[in-house]
Amino acid sequence: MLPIPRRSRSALSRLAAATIVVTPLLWSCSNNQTDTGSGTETDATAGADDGSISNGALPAFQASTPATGARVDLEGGWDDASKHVRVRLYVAGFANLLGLAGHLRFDPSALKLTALTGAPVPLGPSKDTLTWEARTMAKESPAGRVLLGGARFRKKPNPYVGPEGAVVDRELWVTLEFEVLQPGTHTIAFDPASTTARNDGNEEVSATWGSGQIVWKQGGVK
Amino acid sequence: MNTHLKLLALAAATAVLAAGAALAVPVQPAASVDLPPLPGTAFARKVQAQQREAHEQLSRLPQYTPAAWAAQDFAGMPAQKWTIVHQDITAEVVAATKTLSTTVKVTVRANKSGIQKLDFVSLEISDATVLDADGNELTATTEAAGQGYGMLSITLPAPLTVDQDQTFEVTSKAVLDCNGDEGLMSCSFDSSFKSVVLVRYYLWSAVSSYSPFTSDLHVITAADEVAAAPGVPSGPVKLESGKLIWSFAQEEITDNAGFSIAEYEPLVVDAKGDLPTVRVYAIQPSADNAQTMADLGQQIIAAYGGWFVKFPWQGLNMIQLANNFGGGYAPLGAAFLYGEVFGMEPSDQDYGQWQSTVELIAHEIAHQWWGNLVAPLGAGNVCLSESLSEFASCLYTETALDNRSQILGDNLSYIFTVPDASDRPMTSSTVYYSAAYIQIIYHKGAVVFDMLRRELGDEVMLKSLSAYAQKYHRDYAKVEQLRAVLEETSGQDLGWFFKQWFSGKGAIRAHLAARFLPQDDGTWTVRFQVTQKAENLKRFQLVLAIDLADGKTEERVVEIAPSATETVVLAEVQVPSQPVRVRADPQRLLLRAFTVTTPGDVNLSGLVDGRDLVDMAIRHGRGVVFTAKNGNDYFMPDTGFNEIYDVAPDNRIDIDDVDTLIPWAGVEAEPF
Ligand SMILES: [Zn+2]
Repeated sequence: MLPIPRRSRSALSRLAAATIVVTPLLWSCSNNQTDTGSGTETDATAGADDGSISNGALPAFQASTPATGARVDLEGGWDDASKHVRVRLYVAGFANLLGLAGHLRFDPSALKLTALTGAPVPLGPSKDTLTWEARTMAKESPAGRVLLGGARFRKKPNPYVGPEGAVVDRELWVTLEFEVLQPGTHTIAFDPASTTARNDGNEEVSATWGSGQIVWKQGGVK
Repeated sequence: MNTHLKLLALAAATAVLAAGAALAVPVQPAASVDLPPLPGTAFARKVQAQQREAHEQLSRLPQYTPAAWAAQDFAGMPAQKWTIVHQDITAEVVAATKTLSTTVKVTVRANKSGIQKLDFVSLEISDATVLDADGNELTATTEAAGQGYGMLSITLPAPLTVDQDQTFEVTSKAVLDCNGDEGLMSCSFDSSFKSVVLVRYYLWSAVSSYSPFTSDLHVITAADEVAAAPGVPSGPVKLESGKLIWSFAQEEITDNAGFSIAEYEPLVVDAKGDLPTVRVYAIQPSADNAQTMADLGQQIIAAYGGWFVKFPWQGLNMIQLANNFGGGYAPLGAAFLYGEVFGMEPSDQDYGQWQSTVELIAHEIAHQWWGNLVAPLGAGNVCLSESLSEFASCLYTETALDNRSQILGDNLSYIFTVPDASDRPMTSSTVYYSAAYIQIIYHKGAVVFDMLRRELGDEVMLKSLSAYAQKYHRDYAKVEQLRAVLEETSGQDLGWFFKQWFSGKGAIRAHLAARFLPQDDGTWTVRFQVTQKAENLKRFQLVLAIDLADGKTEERVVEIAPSATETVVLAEVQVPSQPVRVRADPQRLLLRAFTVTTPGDVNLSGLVDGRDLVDMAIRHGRGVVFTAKNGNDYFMPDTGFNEIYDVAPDNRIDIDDVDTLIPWAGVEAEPF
């Protein structure tokens, strides 16, 4: 177009370009994991019978998440105090994580979300709260879809320093409590099109988004 | 953002969520910051240089002119009764007293009979003696005209003979005032440099632009000094006193002038092919770097020569001035530039030094085409000089340095630092007197020409500018004349564009919303909504980068062309799979400030969710307001800033924005 040869891109110009053009996402995500059985915490308090869920076996939680690699893993089980199934989401195995997000879905006719608590993620192992803070978004909207997000922010930001991803060994992200409305096997999983995990270069980080099942075997309800 | 506003924003969001509906009122953008640029940055240096150049402009185009003429162009003005044909100027400066002594042989020609009194404008002079061609002294009076200017009136014993040249010799002195921050900046002195801008006499009856002439300049210096000026140099001739006299022939008809004296070590790079002779006048140690400057000058000339028309003059003299000059200016055949520029090399990347050097030199050299070859006809057409030169410079840095930081900085500067009260149309005849003159004419002007380039395409744009230069070379032009050439070359009606961007003020200020709609065949529709205020409806081509869940990006261009009453414009585009994000004008090609209609939906997905939070984290810390260590706020053209993410509007993306966004989780775009 313009008859002047372009010079090779300087580091400065690459930086300038990076600030205005969001890098195309490199998507890699495996949501088709089936049950590996690991990392689960089931029937921790099995045997209790509070009468609220009839007199049969208590609902249990089974997670489907690998134990290694960048991942969001789930663990959970019956919570006797609340008489609900409590599920915790952990963010784990990231070398450079600036933020992540996804829609967690379940069948609202079978599960009722009774409590939802987010913890600031990702912060990184140092938990250097002088330099960093994190914010988490956690909201059910509409019923059966939980909008989740977490991102890390520099406490004293300026245009010269830019974002910096965290090394995340394993950090608690979200705690959910469900009332189980119906017997059966109820899947809790991320909508594959909704998930994203990004590093400080705004690149998509390949991660495994775990899922889980709340299983309530008929018990006394017959 | 102050706490009160933040609480209000949160309260609003909470109320909406409770009601289960999206907010009808979009977030309003932050007000203009009206702040000076962050000191020490390349951008601050550039703005300073532009301000200095604007001062030089003023000293060459005396403000002190009949008000009615200064306020409009000269399209309807009757032919002048007499004109200056040539001046032969001999000048000497005494640094200690900042006294300029001149002997000017002025050749005039009457166009009408009965001309017996001649009024000239120049510096405020004293001790004037005027002799006719036979050496007879004529009656002359001098009068202060304000701001360092003066008027010289010569009364002739008999009227001038029509169409016959007559020469007078005017000898006078002037005391230079180099300190004016406002008004006349006629000189710049330090221990190494003595430079003077205004040495000529101009017709009193018109601003100087309208009395150009050919000239010879002779500068007297001490034996160890060298003079530099526009034109073809000759000499020096040694006087009996031991002083030297340096001559510069200006064969072209022009209104500009100026010279400088220093211990220059000139480097002359001879003309080659289409490239003219380039002479670099610099003192040590910068003189050792003269080849770098000459190379840069020739590269810029080569680019412009290819884009516009061949370099039109006999040569280009790049002349170093005192560092305290702080800027540059470009009379015909020369670029005067402040000192430190001449020491810069491509390896000087700290603080953008080389970049700002190239920007400045490319701007000044562009004036050889825009301002000198084709001169703007009057105050309302100054964009034909300054905006086009800045545009050319941006085009040069985009191509040669492979980055758009110059045009982006110009864009952000206009958008974020011009209060409504200071804004004027580019073609306003009073634009010079706006506090935002630099932002309107240099910064917005460059972006407006760049948007025109996007409308027409590079090839048609450059072809049009070339045709314009060919049609109006060595002449004055008006904006409408440039428009006519552009329309002829492109075959497009550009009336709307010129009305919107040249004779209208402001920028695109729009609220954006998007919705993603799945289709039966598996594709998706992105429905896009642009809302503008009725009093500021702008037409533009909007690039949408649509990021898909599979990691691909689809780019679409939508035409936003509202009718006279249409505040809301809808557009629909199809993409092959599920979108996750829309980036509107991702390269900031437009002069715009966008906000989102759906509060918190910064990525325009139609839903506020965690992706908005992550997208905000990427932008966190970006801002066009920078608080320095001294606690003061400054403007900073951070090209990573995107006002869409500034949801708690304060012109920076900080934790207030994050905390404002989070409560909006789950808000969906209102159906449209
Ligand atoms: Zn200029």
